[in-house]
Amino acid sequence: MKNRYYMITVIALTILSFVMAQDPPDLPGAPNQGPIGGMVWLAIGGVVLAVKKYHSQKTDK
Amino acid sequence: MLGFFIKAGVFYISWQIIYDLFLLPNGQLDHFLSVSVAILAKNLLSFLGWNINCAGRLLVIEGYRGVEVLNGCNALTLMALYSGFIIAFKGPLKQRIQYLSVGLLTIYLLNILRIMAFSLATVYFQQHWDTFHEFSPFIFFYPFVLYLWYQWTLVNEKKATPFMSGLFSA
Repeated sequence: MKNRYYMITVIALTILSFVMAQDPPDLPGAPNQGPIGGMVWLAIGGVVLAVKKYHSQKTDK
Repeated sequence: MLGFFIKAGVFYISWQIIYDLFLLPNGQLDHFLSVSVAILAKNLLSFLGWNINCAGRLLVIEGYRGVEVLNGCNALTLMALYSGFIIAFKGPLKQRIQYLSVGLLTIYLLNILRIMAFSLATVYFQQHWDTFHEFSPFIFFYPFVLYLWYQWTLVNEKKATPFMSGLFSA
């Protein structure tokens, strides 16, 4: 009899844990993601800088 | 000038091949840069008194949206772009190494500041976060990179300004 109560309690608790289980709370929102953009402008800046320098060196000679 | 373009072209093609074939599949360099930047940004913000949590690449100030440092956010591509110019534009080897090391380290540190700024932006102006993010490289990186590139072209002419010549002669 004692074993029976024990079994019922264990089963009830197990079932209860399934019923009461919840998903973890969500984040306040999807995280922001920050890739670095606009790098083509930097590359263009570098090309302009290099061309200008080589051009000025050439005219100095 | 042709030499510059050839060297730059060879550098960027080689970089892209090495990145696509080895670094990207391996993932360790990207992972290190992303996670270390996230951890350092978290530690600095914690030091400044913010209640902030960090899980891998994700930074979350409690109660606000998180910021995730993806591969594209870890400044590795920018480091490659910066290095390409320094390597391709002629100049003395010793100073080239100095410009490369100081430049790469500073880009890394600036990226920590940028990620910190992104986290704070979620608190103060989340609605403008995308705009801030879009223009952030123009604030944090590009002026500095262009300045160093310009200085590097002056080194080639032996006309370095006091800031960089003082920095490297110390």
